Amino acid sequence: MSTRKNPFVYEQARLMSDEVVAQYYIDDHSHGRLLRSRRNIFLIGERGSGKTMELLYNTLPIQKLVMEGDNSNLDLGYIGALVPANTPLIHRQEHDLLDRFRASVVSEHFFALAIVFHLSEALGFVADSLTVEEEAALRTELAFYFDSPLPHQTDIFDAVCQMAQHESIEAQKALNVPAVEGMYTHALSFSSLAVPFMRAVKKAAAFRESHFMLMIDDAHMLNPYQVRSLNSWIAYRDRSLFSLKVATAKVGLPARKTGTGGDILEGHDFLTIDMERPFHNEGSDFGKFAARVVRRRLESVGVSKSPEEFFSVHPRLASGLRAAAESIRSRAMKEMPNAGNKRIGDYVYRQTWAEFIRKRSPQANRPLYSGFSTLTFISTGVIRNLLEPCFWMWEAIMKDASVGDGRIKGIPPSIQAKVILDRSEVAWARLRTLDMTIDGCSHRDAKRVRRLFEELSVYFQRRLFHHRSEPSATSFSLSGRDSGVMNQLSPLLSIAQRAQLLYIREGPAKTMGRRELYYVPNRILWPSRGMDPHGQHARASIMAKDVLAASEGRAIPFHVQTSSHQHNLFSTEEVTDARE
Amino acid sequence: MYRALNKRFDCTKSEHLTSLYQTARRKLVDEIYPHVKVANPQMTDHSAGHIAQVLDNVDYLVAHDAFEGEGDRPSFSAADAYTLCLAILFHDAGMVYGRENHESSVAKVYDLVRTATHEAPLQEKGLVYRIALAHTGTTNAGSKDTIAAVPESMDLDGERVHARELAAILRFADELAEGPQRTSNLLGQPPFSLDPDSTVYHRYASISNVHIDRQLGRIALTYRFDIGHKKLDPNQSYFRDLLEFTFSRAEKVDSERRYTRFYSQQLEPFNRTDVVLNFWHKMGLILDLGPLELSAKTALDRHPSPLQAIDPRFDADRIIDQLRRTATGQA
Repeated sequence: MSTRKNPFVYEQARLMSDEVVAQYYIDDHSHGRLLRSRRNIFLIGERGSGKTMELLYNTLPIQKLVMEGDNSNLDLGYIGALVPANTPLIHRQEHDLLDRFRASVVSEHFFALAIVFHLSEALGFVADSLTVEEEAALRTELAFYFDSPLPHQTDIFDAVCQMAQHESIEAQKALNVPAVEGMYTHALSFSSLAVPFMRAVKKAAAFRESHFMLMIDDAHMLNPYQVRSLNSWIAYRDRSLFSLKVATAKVGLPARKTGTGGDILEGHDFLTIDMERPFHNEGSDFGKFAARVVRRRLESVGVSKSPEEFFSVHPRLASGLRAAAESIRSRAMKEMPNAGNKRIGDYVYRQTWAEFIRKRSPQANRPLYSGFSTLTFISTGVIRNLLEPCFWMWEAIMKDASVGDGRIKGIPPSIQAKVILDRSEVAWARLRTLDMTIDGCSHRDAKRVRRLFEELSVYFQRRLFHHRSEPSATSFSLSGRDSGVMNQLSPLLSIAQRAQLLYIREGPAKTMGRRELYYVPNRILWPSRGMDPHGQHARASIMAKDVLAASEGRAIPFHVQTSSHQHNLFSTEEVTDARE
Repeated sequence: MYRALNKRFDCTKSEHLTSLYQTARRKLVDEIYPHVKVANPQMTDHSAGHIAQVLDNVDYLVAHDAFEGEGDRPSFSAADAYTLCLAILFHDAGMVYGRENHESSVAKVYDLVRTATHEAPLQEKGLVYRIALAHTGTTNAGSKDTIAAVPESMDLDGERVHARELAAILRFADELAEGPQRTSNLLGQPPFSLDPDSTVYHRYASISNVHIDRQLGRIALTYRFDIGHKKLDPNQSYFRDLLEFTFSRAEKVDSERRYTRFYSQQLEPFNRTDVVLNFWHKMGLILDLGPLELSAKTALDRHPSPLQAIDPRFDADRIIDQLRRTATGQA
């Protein structure tokens, strides 16, 4: 099989063909089962975490493709339709020109039409499931709801799509004139159109047991009125007819209020799936998922090697890490002879990369970052961040004339290292142009975010060389979250988050079993600084005022631990490096 | 309450009532409620934290402009606000003498808290006692309709108090004051042992979440069972007991909703109770039930085994069987 096609495409899932989505999709068992249920679900995660892929795979057209590939019958028990919120059909600005009531009506009108359009588009793939009589009956009923006959020259579902487009155009025409009162006699809503549409479809024998999954993608693009409408539907009591699967970025998470001012409740009205994963080692859920994704991509181009074999570790890096591990182990066994194997093992795991980097000559080039494990950690738990460097590595290989007949047996470690360093430099370059790429980011804020990351880099480097127990921590939590400080700091962190240079996660706090937010800079940043790209799950506690000061170019305080320091080799207590 | 007092009364009277309230609160919180735990070591929390939660629940239950000083057409006067808050402070104070008929012991505690020098309104004791008495138990005649035994209106220093309606609000707010905050992770582990009869109450508290949603007209009950955590094991007999207890408590909440709503216009918007059960195992949801809507439509009183009759999935044996199969498969 020719291996010329790059299997590591990392573009948005909506830009891929149905066949590619079906081919590349990897089933995360818990997500799939939750999605194909009657629960309302929020999928939350930053760009590239796989939300759209998860929704798309569960839509009717792709399920049909998958079943045909398996020679199985399509199960119409769950019918999914993707409704992207960032298309002109929904994402509009007219509501800004209207009073609140009309804005609310207009917003829901377009939203309801979009849902009917996309649901009908999906149902078009199984239009032949209707008998002639059922289609005729459906056509009559839907004409009643639209208050207009449907186009005759085409099948029923295509006719509904056309009708929805027509209604949208008519609404737009009405909004274009100053006096808009006339428009509202035709305003449609979820209750007056979408629900009756679904109920009408269910009258057909093939769809009698169907449950409709309305998959709203990029819900953070909805306007506030549409968010309230969406939440009202989520609070809808009867879930036999439909449920909502809502994909949204963490930045700009939609509010939880309904149209009547009530609240939708997690655990009660909906469940949340966080698509970002905090643990990235081989045994973690994300580690295994990443391996399966890459293996599937390799299989698609006829490569049967495992990801670890395909992305092998550079021998010099491997031997360097082995030597560092041995050195650490010997030291630990000498200093703590009574420590058990597990403690020693954990210690070696935490300290190996730090030891390796510390022992390198200051004149040495940056480490030869390579290996599938390194790629997985660099992704910082976001699948697109894993695929992107792999894509560029493949492209680099394809340029090499010595590849011969196009069969690629693996990515040489030297290529991996070069591409990883290149991508790292690209990430730092992004920090210099945030005001041009992030909406609402001023030139001054862009400078401050860049300085903040520069100082974080220095801080983590110092920690790498001097911190005894947790040297490789590259994430942090904020202490002393004074409101005045956070009001200035939060916008900067939000800019970094929107630029995907920073991820904000939730994890257990040290105190009283609580949970806290913590911040993980994108690990692709660290290779160009010669740092440990794996990091540790431990996080440094930094004063919020020091992080804010870092945005003005001031160093984040770090106190070098001396041998008289109370922390022993195995301490995993956070050292609060700044004076509180 | 403070805003209502300031709006309704002159400075002297407002400050006096405020002082009376704060004095009572201080004495109860500092001197009485700490002994409730001592007298009832096996019970879920009935101390100052519970009182605070009941007060919060009132805030969620009544309209935001219900009290004088908050809107143009208040339903309740400053005297109502004062009486309700005081009744909430006192309603479980009788537990310092033990749980049995604790509502009747409120008067004894009142006499400890209030002395003659406080110059509390003469009618205050009677008001607080009658309202607190109605929050649980039975009347002297053995009827469960304790709210009916409270006079519709009573007097507090010449001001009318809607005593019966306040009793209904207190009762429902108290019923809804449930959740993990009423128990502790330490209980049930040595040396903090629990007797078997009390364990189910603590387990129930640890799995419960109550949300009062006036805008949507519902009480949302969400129960989270973490299988494997804190030894929640579907194979053990206590698990079935916990399920049955959860069902009965959900029914009770709805029963209280319907009952108290009958006596309070403020509680009218709450026309249903929604029940959801989520069963989690190693961070995966393995079974979920609901939402089961309990409302006039589902007419609990006509069913001998209410929840199961409304939705056959709410059957303890069936749930346990499903969990055993699913959890075993996921282990």
